[in-house]
Amino acid sequence: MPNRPSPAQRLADLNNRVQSSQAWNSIFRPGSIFRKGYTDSPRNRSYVIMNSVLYHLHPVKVKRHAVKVSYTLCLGGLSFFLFILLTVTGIFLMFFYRPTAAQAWNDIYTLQTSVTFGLLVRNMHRWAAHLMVLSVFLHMARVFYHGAYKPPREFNWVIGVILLTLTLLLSFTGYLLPWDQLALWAVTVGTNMMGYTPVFGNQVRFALLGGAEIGTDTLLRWYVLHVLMLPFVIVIFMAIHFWRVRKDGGISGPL
Amino acid sequence: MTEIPEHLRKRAEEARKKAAGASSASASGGDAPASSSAPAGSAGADAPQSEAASKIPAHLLERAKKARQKASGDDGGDAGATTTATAPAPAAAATAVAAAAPPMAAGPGGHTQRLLTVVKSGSIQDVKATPQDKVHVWPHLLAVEFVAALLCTAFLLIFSVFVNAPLLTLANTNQTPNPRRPPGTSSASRSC
Ligand code: HEM
Repeated sequence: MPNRPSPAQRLADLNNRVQSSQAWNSIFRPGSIFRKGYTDSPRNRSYVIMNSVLYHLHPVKVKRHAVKVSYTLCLGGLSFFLFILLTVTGIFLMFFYRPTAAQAWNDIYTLQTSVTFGLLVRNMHRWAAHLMVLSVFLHMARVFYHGAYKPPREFNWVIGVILLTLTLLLSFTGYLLPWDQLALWAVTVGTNMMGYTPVFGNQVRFALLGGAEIGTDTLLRWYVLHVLMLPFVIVIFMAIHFWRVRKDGGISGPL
Repeated sequence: MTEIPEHLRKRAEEARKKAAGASSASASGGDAPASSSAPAGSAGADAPQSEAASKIPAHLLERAKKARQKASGDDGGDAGATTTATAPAPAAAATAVAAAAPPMAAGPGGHTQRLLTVVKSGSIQDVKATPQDKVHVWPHLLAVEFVAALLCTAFLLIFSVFVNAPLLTLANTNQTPNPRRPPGTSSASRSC
């Protein structure tokens, strides 16, 4: 009995072995605070941001009022986070979905009934999409009521309007994909409205439907828009949006 | 933010004073020979001098003035003699330089470089006078973001467990869901 190490000793041992392993040392490069052990100091607080590619979206320091939840209500950040969640759940859905009129509905049905967590992930994708439209809209309202669209941020407002449009288009293109009665008729109504655009309404409708009426070509077209083109474009505009927030001197001050 | 060091400011002021004095002297004394008696060759050399007088170091201006005085003293009224008079001028200037060491040579601590200009803060950069009240993003902002993301995920997960996304029957172009009868048979359209 006296020879057996205590749990605390074992933990220390394990910690030692992990931190001196090849993998650990190649991930946490020399000089990394996570290698040296984090102690709370202004310098280490700065390093956390500066040494991370993801946190680098942030400056090292922000104005004190900027971290108050009651100012932004986290709405811009949540819009972005929901977009990430949608990407993750969307990739999961892509594994089980084929965008043809003959297969789409069946694939969704099978996903819900025989894929582990299929229904849950589909639900999450659906509700996150609704939530994102809501949070983007509320974020816009927040910016409006703070007057945060005023110079020098007027250009970022324009980027924001593009982001709102792209969010709505993502939502709309996704709506068709289950290929059920709801999808078909909602999109029929939507695209019929496009047909009444003056001058080139019918051409717009034809291009978007990939034919005179909704069919399997429409499904493929909207699928590619939904999973590839629109996300690609929105990511670019989000990058510009975040870059502008910092270029305009961080988020605006309180009124 | 940018306070100009006292000794630099003094030095610049002195240099400016000296330059102003020298340029006014060369403007009055330098124009006369160029317009009256100097030939084309020396006039060409004079003209840019008076034009850029303010940018030329004081000791060079001094030297040029002396040389010019010497030249105009020598030729007197004889315009033909100026070509010979310009020849000894460089030699005279060289001795003048050797005699009076350039005033810029010895700065504080024996430095030989010269202060070109002093740019006042605020003229080319917008200097914020008041420091802003800032906090570190880690942990103050990242912690808030993390909690917000966590709450958002939790809400979405729980909501998705209890509420299913709609999936109606397979799309059917021959049947509109609302109203659920063929077109033209609804009571509303019959009453017309
Ligand atoms: C995909 C949608 C969007 C995302 C992910 C997003 C993200 C963000 C984030 C993270 C911020 C930092 C401050 C905050 O969280 O409130 C921000 C600020 C801002 N956003 Fe957005 N946004 C989106 C859509 C919009 C829309 C639709 C508008 C307006 C039409 C807009 C206009 C602005 C402006 C003007 C700021 C600066 C606000 C300030 O300085 O206080 N954004 N955005």
